[in-house]
Amino acid sequence: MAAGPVTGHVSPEQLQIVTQVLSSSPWNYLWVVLLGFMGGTLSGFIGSGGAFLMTPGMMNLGVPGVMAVGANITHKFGKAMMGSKKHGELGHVDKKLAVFVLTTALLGIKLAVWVNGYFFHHLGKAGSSLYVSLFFIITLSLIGGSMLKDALRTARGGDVGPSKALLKLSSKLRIPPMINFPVAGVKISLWTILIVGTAVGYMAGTIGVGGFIGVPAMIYVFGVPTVVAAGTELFLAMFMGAWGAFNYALAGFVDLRLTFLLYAGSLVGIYIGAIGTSLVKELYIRMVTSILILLCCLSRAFAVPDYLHKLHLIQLSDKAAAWFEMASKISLFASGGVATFLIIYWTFKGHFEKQRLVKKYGLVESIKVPSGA
Amino acid sequence: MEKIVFVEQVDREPKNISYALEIAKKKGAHLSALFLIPVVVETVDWIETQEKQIREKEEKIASFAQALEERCRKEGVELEWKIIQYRPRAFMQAMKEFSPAELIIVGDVDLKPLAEEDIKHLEDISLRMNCPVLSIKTLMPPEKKSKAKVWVRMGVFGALSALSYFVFFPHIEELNYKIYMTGTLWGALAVLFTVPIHAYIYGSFTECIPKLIGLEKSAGSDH
Repeated sequence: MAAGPVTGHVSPEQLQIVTQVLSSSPWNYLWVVLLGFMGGTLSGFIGSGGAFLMTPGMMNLGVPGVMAVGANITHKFGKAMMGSKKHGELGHVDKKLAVFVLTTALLGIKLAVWVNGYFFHHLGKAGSSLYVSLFFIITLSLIGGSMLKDALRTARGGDVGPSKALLKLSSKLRIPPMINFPVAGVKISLWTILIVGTAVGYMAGTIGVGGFIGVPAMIYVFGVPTVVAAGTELFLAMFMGAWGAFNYALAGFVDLRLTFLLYAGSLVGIYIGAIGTSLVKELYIRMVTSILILLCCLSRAFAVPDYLHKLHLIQLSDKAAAWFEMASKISLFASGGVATFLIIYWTFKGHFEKQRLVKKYGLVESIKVPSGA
Repeated sequence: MEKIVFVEQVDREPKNISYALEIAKKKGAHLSALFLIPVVVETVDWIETQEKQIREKEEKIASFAQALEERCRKEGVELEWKIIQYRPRAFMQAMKEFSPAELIIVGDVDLKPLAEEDIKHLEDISLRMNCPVLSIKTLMPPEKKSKAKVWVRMGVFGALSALSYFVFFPHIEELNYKIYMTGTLWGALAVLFTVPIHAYIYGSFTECIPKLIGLEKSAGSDH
């Protein structure tokens, strides 16, 4: 394996990886498109994410973690620009908060790219994939578990929303200087912003998730209202995506073939998913999301023994290695496939129910609207 | 008698009440209209000015509603109406007062202020009110001109997308060696330049698909 400085040097191995993956089986083109479709549908449906499916999915096909993250973050950059075009105005954006979070997040992303690249250049494909997988396992198990707990509590008629423990802790950390954010209506310690912003950027740069972390961080740590958090995150997503894409491309980890193949599916799924949110009950959305995240986490856990074996840290028979690889692929593609199928099914079910109402109440011809009443 | 509730955020005059009235007339239903006056809650400055503006709007809308009552009487439609300041609690209270209903029609309403009540979409209102909710846009007759525009757009961007995937894509491996994966500043900038262009072209093509199959209309477009 090649070793060298993380940025500014690209090994021949990096240039050949995607060619090897795509040429090893022509079906791999289709798998990447399908991953994009599932990821796009989920991304449109739950408002953020898709990375927890697409990045591990590409890794399952043999793409090293660092290149899977690079492809996804580049794909997200273009998608965020389309998202803002689709939604028009950004809504309630606290630009002052966005600038503070963005500055620290960009630093976090830069650091993440450096670390990811370091693992690739010093430990090879297996090392890079192991690092990204472990990060996924820790993050997704915490987030997925919390979301499932929250969804089950809502289903039983309990309070809506996760615990406010983080918010209470953050409000106690009144270490000066305190910065006032008038649009969000909060005063936050600069140190809290520095830590949280850098952490959000680092996670975004390591595993390619964005709003999935950023929006809850703003709501549950900073105490920002949901509508301002969502608007500010959309504003941030474009810049974080661009910065992430730029840095991964500068390190030679972005092969546009993967990005283009992801788009082939994701830009179809994203519109179906987004429309689905208007036609499907919120509780179903949360249940699907949390269960899928936990299954993606499980998929990555199945992949870890193979990486440890390739790094000569454990011994695995060929049969065991093949079993773990299959278990990882099946848990990811099957869970993603089932979740996507459910979303499409519920969306079209809601659509046909609406069409029945439109037939009953809809206006057949245009009417003349009188002035005044 | 069926009851239809119509909700619209009003700045000057309700834009879509005539359509709701026509639907109520067609079904012989009782129409309950809820007019929402937007209130800026994020700033505490200019309270007196905002209060004065709200009062003026209330008077204007009330005058409009009274003229609407007269029109409804002539057309044989039973109408009741209410004007409230658009705050989440006041909205939910007013909706409960108008319940139960067979259908809720939503005109131009920004749902963001209702995020506090955990309402982000029309489906959330439907769950809380236990009643189907439709956007007025879904109930309006389809515009033939707009469908033709969608087909043309799909054709143009479909052709460009085909070029992108069948002409440009096969050359990416070669371009990786020449520019994209060289690890240089120009290579990184080339990636940043290429990606949004492709995303825009292909995204403009694919966004036509839900429009043509009527999915966007069912969802109420911008709600």
